[in-house]
Amino acid sequence: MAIKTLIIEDQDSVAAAIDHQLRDTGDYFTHQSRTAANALDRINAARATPYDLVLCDYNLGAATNGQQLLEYLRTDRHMPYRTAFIMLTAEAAYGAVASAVELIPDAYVIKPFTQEILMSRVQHAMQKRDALMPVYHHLDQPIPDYPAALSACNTLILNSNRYVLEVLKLKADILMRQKQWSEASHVYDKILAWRSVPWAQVGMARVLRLMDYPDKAKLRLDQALADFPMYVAAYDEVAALKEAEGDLAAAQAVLEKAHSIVPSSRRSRTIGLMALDNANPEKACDYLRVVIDRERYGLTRSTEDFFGLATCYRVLGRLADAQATIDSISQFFPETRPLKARKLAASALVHAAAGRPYDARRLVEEALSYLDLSTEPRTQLEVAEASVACGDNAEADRLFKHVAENWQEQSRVLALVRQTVLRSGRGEEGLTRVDSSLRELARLNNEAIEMMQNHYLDKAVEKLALVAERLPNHAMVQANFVQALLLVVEDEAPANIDELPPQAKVRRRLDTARKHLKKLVALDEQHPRLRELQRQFACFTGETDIAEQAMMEFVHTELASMEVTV
Amino acid sequence: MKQAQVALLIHNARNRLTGILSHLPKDDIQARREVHAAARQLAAAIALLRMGQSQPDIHQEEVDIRLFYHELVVESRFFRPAHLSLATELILPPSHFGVWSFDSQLVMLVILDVLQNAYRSARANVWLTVRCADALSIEVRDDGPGYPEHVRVTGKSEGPSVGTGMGLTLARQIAEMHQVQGNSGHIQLENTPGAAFTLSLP
Repeated sequence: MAIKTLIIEDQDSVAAAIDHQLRDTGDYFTHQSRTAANALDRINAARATPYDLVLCDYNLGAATNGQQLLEYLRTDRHMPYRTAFIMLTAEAAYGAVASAVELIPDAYVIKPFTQEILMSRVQHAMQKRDALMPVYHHLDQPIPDYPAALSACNTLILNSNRYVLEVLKLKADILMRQKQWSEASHVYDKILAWRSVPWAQVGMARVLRLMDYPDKAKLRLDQALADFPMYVAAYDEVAALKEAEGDLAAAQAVLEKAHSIVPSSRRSRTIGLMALDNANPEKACDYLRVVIDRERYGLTRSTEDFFGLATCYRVLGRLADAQATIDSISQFFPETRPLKARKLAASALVHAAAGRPYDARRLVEEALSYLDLSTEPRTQLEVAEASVACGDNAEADRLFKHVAENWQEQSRVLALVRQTVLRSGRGEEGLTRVDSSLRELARLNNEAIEMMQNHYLDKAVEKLALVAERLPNHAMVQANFVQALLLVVEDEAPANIDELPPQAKVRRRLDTARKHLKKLVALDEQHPRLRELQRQFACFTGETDIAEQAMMEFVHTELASMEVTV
Repeated sequence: MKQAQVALLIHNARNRLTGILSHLPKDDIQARREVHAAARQLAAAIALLRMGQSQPDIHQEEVDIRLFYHELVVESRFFRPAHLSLATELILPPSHFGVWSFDSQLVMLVILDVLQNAYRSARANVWLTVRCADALSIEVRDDGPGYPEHVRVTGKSEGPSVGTGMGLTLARQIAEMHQVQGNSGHIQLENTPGAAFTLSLP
């Protein structure tokens, strides 16, 4: 069968030469892209029958280089594992990048190359891909089947596969995704007993941080940096450690060091936003302006850069620049409802800073009309901050409490809530209100669980229904609600459940359970209780593909909203 | 700044060679060899530029030993004079991960340089052996007259190298810059009685 190949190369003659060399040697079915944007279109269009191989030039001429494209494709599953990626390069900087970055292609080929060398690298990449296919097969499912992928890894390791180090790396990655820290540490230990490998050192440090051993993590990172002083992922991990300790200034300094080794838009953005939080708006301005200039047509452009820069200008008293930055966002991003809300809130803050409270209040009211319960947290917080600036503390507290409750499971969002409460001027009073609402939520949830345990199932369902509707992003609440519904169904279910009319109470309860089960999948496809709830649901309905249904709905929504300009 | 400009010029020249290669007829082996040799010399020029920096650096990346060996053999045969035989061997314990961390570009240039000198000195045979266990070692041996005593002792070659131009001094420097947990790489010159060059990397 022909090897389906995409050649991403901006020079016609080089692309044609590669195409010719491939077809001359074997059965290759090729497409060509001159730009990263066209390549993305092709890769997206080929989801049903993905490419086997991508050959990509490092220097693509426009906003995006090959490394950035690779990182974009490999994160968030924009490209399946089964697609091998080879980087073609004549760049002076490539060597430094190759030895410093965490995410590397399956091979590099340095220009000019002979047909022998090109084919040697291609064949090696394809052999590796074929050898690892039993694992990739499970990882490329609409919902990755991590337990099956782990089992496939173990089989390959037992059979002493030639690519066993690669298999161990994949196994550690999967265990990390599954939050099986201790098992992941065993894999890293095995590798490090053989040799000091940078990604294993950093992986081990990450495990130690997540297992709450910051001192041991620090020692590990010191060792990694002594052995591999250019390995930027080690600096990123040191920064994560400092951030976890609450030392944002130190985290920022470490990231700046990493940025000096391999500048990337992601890192510039993190430094810029961190500098803003660290009360260093001048530096924040510098970094965010760089990202905006570089990425406005790039793959990883983000509205955060614009809002961050607008905040810098506002804090520095450059209010006209702040408003101009907010206004410019619409040139690069589609005007969705959440974006409108956030722009209005940011403008309201500018008006408030300019001493125009009436205009600010009008904008806040308009912003509120665009919000719903699930609107992403930063937008809701910005509206809350603008509400405080207009003197509407009650509205602000309502939003602060909702964001804290709805995203209670995400420590980053909780930290952001606290930060915004303090910055907005709500101070200790605001924090106290947020804390008491979180305690109230815990109490409600515990009461419902107690009711379930004491078999007051109807009451538990009633109580949890209210919370689950109010907090659509709280995975534990959604899981508890589905559990309560399934317990009631089990209690009430007649044998002929399929023959009942759709409006029968039991059938309606199952419909509600299906809806919230899908919500749980969309929130966290790896939620530890998902598989068991799915199994129980399937016992009543025979539907074993709820998760797949939810994921396909989610993927379609995502695809429909994708508007990437490169 | 000047150094960056020189590097850019060299890279542009290498890029142009890619274009020339794509236009050459496939059966014009001699022309292809010439272009390839020019490309390798430009690669060596970049390496020299890197080594000449105030803080020279090497880029240690994970390298698949079997793939590196395969490509080293392909490249070595490309320049082998017809009257010489080249015997190659890869020795890798079965339990080995088959991966080592080193600057494959620089090491490839060093070994190809040593090989071309061996081709010049050998009477009939050259041997290339790659071993990987607790260290990676690459040995190039020939059946020629061996290293002159002062070269073997000092490790400094006389005059410019005939190969990629890397030379023994640079080979030693590159080896020593490969450091892992306090251990650094080294080169060894022996007469067996022909010249035997070994590069060992931790």
